[in-house]
Amino acid sequence: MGNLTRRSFLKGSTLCLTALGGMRLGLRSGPARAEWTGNRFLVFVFLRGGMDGLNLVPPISGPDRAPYESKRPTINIRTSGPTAALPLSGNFGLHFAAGGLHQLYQQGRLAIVHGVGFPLEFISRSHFDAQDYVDLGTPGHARGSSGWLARHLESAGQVPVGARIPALASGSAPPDSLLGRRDTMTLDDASSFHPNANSGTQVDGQPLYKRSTMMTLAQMYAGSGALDLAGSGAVNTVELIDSLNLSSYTPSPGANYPTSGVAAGLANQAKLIANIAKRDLGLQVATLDYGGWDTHENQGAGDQANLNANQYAARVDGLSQVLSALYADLAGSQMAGRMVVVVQSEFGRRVRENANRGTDHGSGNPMLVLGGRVQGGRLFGTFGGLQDGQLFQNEDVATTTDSRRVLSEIVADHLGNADLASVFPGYAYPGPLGLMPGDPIFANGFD
Amino acid sequence: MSGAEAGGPSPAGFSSTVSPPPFAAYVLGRLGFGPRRGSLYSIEHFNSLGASDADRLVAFVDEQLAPTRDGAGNVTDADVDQRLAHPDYVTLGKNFDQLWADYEVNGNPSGGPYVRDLPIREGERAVFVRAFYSRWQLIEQLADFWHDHFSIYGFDRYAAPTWTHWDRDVIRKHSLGNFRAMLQKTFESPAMLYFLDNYINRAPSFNENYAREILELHTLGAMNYLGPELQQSEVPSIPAGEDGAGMPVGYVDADVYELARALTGWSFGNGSNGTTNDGVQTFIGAWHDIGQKTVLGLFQPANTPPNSEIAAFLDRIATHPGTGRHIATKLAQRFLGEDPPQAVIDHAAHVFFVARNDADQLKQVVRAVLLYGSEVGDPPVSGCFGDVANFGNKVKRPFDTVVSALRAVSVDFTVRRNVGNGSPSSDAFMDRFRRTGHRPFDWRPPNGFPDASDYWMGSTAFVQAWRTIDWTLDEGTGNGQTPLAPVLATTLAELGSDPAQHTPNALANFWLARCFGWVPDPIAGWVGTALHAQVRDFMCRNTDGLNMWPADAAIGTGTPGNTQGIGTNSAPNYWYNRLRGMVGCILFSPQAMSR
Repeated sequence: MGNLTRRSFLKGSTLCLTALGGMRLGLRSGPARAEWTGNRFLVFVFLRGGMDGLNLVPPISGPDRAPYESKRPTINIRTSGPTAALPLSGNFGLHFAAGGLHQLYQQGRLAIVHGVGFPLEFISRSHFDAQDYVDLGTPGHARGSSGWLARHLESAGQVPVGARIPALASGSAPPDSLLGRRDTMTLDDASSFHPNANSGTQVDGQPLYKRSTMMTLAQMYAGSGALDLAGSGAVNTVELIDSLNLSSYTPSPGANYPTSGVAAGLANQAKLIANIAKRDLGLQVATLDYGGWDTHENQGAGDQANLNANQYAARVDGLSQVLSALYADLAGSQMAGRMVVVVQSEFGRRVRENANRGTDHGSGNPMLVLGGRVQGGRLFGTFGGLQDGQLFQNEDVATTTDSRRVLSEIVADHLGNADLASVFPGYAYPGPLGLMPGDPIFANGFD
Repeated sequence: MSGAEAGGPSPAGFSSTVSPPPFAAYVLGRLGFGPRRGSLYSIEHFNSLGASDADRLVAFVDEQLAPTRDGAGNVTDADVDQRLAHPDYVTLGKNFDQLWADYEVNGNPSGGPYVRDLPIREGERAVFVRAFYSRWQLIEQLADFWHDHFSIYGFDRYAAPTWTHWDRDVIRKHSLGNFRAMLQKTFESPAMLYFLDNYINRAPSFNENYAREILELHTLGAMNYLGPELQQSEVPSIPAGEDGAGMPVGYVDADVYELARALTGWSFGNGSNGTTNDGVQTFIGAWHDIGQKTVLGLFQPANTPPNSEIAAFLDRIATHPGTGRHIATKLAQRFLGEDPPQAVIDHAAHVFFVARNDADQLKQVVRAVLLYGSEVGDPPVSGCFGDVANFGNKVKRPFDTVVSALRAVSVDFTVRRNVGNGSPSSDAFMDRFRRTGHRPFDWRPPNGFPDASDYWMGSTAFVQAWRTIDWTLDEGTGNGQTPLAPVLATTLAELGSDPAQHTPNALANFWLARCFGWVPDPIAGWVGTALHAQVRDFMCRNTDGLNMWPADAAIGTGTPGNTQGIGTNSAPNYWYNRLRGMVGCILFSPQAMSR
């Protein structure tokens, strides 16, 4: 199977079915290891709704602490007591509910870039414009035909020969960052993922006409249009779930994905990424969407330790648990060095809390970068300050680093794609911040 | 332009394999959720309305734009009304005050049942019943459109108990009415005031959420947002001679903040802050910012009475030509394609502006979107609604996929709450459908389900929509049960009950024509098309995926040893299962997934 592309592999399986007669769809045996050995991948986590990054990475000392407290009298993250911030480097701390992320920071695996966003002329406080800017990788342009991850995958040599699942949208719909990439596997849950709902009579342990239905679907979706490719992608997904037995997966010991709470769904989706990443199917990029950050009211009092009464803390806790479980899952298989997780939101929130103990739409915000090769345990970027005269338009944390700079470094120095001009057209990359060790070949195998 | 002849692939489309349908089938698949045999939203009815496609289109659109209504102005449909009169539907007849009392005030009494969300739990099911059965399919499409436009998460705290009101009195009642009046009703709704946080918007540090979404989503739209850098005074004006001359061309952040200040104090009675718990919009003077304000170039001096202040601002926003352009663009994208002709948008936006004070403004706008380019005197517009070459330039969303499929097979299914286990099928249906990602009103951000086809072309949406259809075709097919989808009965009644007629070739041909409502060739039907061969082969193929029944051998009278008919279901042929599976394959095809 080694030299077949994913598509020809799948076509092959269907042809075999017809030619050899009676062969199971997909692979009869366990997953065949692809010949390709390139092994880096990116997990892009989009926190939709405008995550309040100032409370995720607040100042806990220094000149910005006093203005932080005065501008956020209720919701400021405390420096002592049960909800005290977890200290990072310098004057900053991490939200008290982000214990898992804090540990990764201390281990040097998590880097934080403060003050990230769009170029000033393209700042938008519209969720939907700003989300498009992030997804499409084109600040200032909310309409386009391809997402930035799709363009990365289009770059020469990026999808390895033999890759069977180069892109995974873990959720019910693909994000626009993968817009234009027709071989994305979109999957919310590997169970009950086939068209034949009838659970009555079975043959060979499968619903009666499942195999026959999949054959007909493969024939019907053999065309070349986007709908045809999407349909055959759906067929392929069903086949792969079966042939790889994706619905059966045991995480590494110590990978404690939360099973309840606001991030239970996110945990399942992250687990699916680990599941697929570990099978050497040529995974290049995976996406996770985690919404619910539009905290205009009752965001959560800074001294409220009860997660049931603190919506923002509950989300942070969920995110932290899921990402640390995902990291532990890969690390348990000596694969943490293959993965970089990037966490981004469309914008940060206003520095001043509003009358409803919430925050309104702002701009500059931190990004998180996590992975076995990440030169973490450090804060990157420039924090513009919270004192009068330092805020953008007297409202927001200043944007000092273009988010595309962070992503470019990962594309170039982790995924090994030098074609940044295609991934972020029109962007003049000023060079790396130092998040990654630099030479991707040299650093191979840093697990 | 009728396209009655089957030909090459649709050039504009998402699939390279679909056949362009006749004009009537194209229109019915676009305007609503596809034809239903024997109803007044059918190909036969459409074709009875005039001498040419253009005449029939105009007559049909005008008919759909004039639905029958009851004394309260609600659209009536005999089939829908009879089904929704089922005793398990208990909220649909209640007015706002009754809903508030029964589900908000008394929705969760100590020791009593939790009934707070009954209205939304009925609403998310009633919408299937309406879409399955209403002859007023355009009204259903427009309800879907406006629910997405003024999107509220249905299970939100105050949306859930008042959903019946939101759906009936705010959305549906205004879908052909006046946009400003509709905007007003959304502003007065406790569901909206809560969802977008205006119920606690108070001076001085206002909450901008609602103001921003009014401008960005409900009226001018992000397409008319000029960004945070410009000040109001820097925004150019619309030139003389154009609609809205003198107004600023778009909005900036300052307009959002000024509108947010105007909205301070507008809350609803919920029993706190000295208000009565009646859900009625109320104004809390102590929270209001009394300073002067300017929104979209309209100045209101300090201490303007708050009623007239907000009314003046909403008038300005709702009638700004940018609002018309935004609405016209979205309607055109829904009905014409993702990249609709600018001429249609411009024309409909102009109608929106000219008719801004008319009671039937939106009816005029919808009519303009649907008929511009097709009426006598219009210039020809490539890509207008009447251009059948549009077929295939939209992929159905999961709701459309499932509803159109089940209409095509004449499903008999009053989806409702499963009261006292009276309809477990309804729960099973909803459980399957929700995995498509398109469960009605289950969208949390305020921008509504995406309309763009790309969003819905992931494998989850496809596979779970197919699975929902498959489940429905199988439901109730056990001994002594009544199937939801009368596949066997329809075959026997319409193709014929003689087993000699039941060959794979004939069954495939019959069901392709039955599902789509048209045939590529008047004599051969679908025989000779690739799709027919694929569907027929499914009917021939045994569960082992290998052994093939002869395509022209009658089932039940054929090969010795296989004497069972299509209604029987035992090894090795499982004919009844296979027949339903074959119908499913037709409904899963690119032809069925395209609009």
